[in-house]
Amino acid sequence: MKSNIIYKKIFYLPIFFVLVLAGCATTSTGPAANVRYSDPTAVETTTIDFGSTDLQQIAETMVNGLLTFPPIVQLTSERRPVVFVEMIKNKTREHIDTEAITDTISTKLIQSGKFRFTDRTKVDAILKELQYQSSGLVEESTMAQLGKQIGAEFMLYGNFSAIEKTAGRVKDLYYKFTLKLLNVETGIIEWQDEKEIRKVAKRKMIGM
Amino acid sequence: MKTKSRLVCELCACILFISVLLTSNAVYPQRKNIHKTEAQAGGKASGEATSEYDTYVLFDNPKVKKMIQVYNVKMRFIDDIMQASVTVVNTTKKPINVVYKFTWFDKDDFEVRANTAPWIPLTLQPNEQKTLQGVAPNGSAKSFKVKISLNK
Repeated sequence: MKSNIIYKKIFYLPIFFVLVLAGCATTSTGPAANVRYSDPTAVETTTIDFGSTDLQQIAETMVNGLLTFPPIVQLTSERRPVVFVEMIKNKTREHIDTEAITDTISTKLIQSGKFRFTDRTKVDAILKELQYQSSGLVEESTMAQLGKQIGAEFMLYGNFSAIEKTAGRVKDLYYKFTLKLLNVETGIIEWQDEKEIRKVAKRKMIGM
Repeated sequence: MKTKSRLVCELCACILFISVLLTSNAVYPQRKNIHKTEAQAGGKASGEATSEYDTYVLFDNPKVKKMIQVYNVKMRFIDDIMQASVTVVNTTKKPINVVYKFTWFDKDDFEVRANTAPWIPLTLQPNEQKTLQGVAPNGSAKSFKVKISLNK
């Protein structure tokens, strides 16, 4: 009888131990977690889903393509064209912040000194500021004049699609990002480029 | 009785092993997957054979240098933007996964937009030749370096 009780205790002890460890695992982002800084430009393959390396690769390819495309080189050697960014259509199944991609692209293009951008999402905020400036509170000589904004010459827009295939433990994910630069006046696509990314993941037999 | 206690011991050991396996994966998933930092991959390794391309191409260790042969480095200016091209060959009999990044320097040897260039992953099949191309972030770049490291 006594040995039976001991046997049960010994049997439940490892289960308790496992539960305690599992509890620790779920609090990995809590204050007790081992936090460290890492290189944001490093290759990240934590999961097969869209990640920082994909975003950086796409932005790098698009900007390099645009800055070296002969007609664009000729154009930007004469002036700094004004561009506005239209939405990138996310046709993948994942929730991807495509604005983060276009933000990185526009940052790089502005930093290149070859392009200027307008931000249509801030029109309301600009109007508010202009109204404030013309309210009489602001000294006239420092007031921003109305009707001086520059119209965008080009529109930057594109598509983001994916093909996903799974066979057994293997998952194949193919991304295609297409970016276009359209002349607003003529409707002509002056430049277009695409970046393909293929990722393959093999699920482990054991483990999470 | 002896068999029972032995069974219990074996069960304990098995559960402990599985729990350690599970927690190590759940708590530190990034350790295996994230590539080493720039500081780790930066400089030239000691004891390596010198080549004419050493000024432009930096390997993180001599082992990688032996695996990858560099045989063509080109650069040009498109308007005022510098473009660089480096041709590499996998000299091993196995596919290798590497990462590379271009860094750009101005006329005073200051890094242009320091620490912003991403590491780009690249797979090289046995004896495969590929060209790494980079474009400077702006017109101030006058020279470049490309860092190559194994993608562990």
